[in-house]
Amino acid sequence: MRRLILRAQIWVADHVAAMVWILLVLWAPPIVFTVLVDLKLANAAGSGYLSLRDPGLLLSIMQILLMAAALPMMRPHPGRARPLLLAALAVWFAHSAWTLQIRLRLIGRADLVSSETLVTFAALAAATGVVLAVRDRRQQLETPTAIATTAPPPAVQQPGTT
Amino acid sequence: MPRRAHVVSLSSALAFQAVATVMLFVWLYGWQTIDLVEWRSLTAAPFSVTLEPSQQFLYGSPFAHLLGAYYQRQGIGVVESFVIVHAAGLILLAYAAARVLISRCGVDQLAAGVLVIAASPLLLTILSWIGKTDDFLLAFYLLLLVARSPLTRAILCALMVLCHRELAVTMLIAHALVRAEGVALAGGAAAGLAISFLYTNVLLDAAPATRLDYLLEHARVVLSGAVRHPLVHFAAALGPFWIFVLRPSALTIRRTAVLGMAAVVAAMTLDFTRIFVLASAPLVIQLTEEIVAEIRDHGGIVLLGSRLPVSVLGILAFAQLHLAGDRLSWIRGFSWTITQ
Repeated sequence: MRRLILRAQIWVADHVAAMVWILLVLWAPPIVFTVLVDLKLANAAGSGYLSLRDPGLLLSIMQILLMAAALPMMRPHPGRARPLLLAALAVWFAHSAWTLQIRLRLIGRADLVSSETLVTFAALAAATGVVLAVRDRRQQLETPTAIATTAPPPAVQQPGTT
Repeated sequence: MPRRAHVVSLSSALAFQAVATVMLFVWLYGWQTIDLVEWRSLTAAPFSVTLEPSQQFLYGSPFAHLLGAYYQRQGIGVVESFVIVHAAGLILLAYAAARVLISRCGVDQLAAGVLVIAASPLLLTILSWIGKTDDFLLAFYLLLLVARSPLTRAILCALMVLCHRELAVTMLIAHALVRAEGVALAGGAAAGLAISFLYTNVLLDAAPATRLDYLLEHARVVLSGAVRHPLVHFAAALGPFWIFVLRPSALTIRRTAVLGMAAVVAAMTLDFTRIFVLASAPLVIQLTEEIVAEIRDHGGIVLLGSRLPVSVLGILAFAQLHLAGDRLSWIRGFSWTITQ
């Protein structure tokens, strides 16, 4: 079982860049479109807030920028991008909290068990698991290096002992 | 000129030729969109059967229209969602092709790989049927070739099946024949088929007509069309790439079986360009790798008794049989707008 978890962690850490790319492809176009609507560059119903004042939109923009900024840091190992991924996750939590309080006020407590809220909770849990897997994988990669650098130097062969 | 400087200038000249070939090809042949009307229905109500029976086979390829439905639910328009989805597909395909050519042939042979593969109708197919899910299908297959994790490969197989159930299965069988591996991919394909079945037979409000239903209904017309011009169909199937496929050193029993299978599937659909080249794409990619290796080792490939450099082979891209038709940009009245 432990070996299976380790393999799952390795798989997640190896594919975290692909996951970030997929989320950006899914999330960026609607946010760009909303910004265009907010700036009156595209015709659609606005959010009712002043231009670029919607907290939900601003949090989404921040999240996408953090994820996009994390991408170049993921090579050679995604562990380097972990602070930015953590920040993006924190912004996602904030965005979900903001959305949830609006929905609770509009729909009531029944929204806590709506499919949309449950999917959001599941997605947040999965994303947290991914960021933790990246952290654990980083620690595993750094552990052998630490041992190797603190290990005693190899004995020098004495001349004439062959 | 020192040898290293000569090699560098040669490879940069080849890179320039590869880029120019692709750009000139796109300008000459242009691009065409398809199924935009069906896209409107499929994305507006992805869980209701709203298409007429002759078009219901499109429900068997749900990947792109589910993605489009997601974008539309986020407030993006019909045409804009079409553009976003298929632009993403084309970018993913370009990335996957570059990754495969670099990992299999080496970064210094990327341009040679592009020039060799441009002789096949793959580029023409991708540009002529923007609206089908061929871009994603081919991109997932190419990523499958470079993926190492069995789980990733299984996921990519399942995604291929969701892009086009029948073509994906044919491509995976061709892959198994060409590369003698396939058992590990069967699980992914089975998962994809299960999800596809779940979508068409459980999530949709009615079971749609399948491609098999369409074939059985039109079998007589399709078969009579297929046998009417066999030589033209044969020549158009792989275009100038046939000269690489039919080299005695390249033709084995397994590869002949792939060509036979592609011919059968193409005859069933009466599509001897798109379906044939996609069904035999695993063979085209494998041959490209071999030809590029030969170019790297010997400076060119032997054709008709003489060794031709890759710069000459690049010209084959423009010898597609379709040049004889009405596809040239200045004949068609070139337009950059999307057909509504």
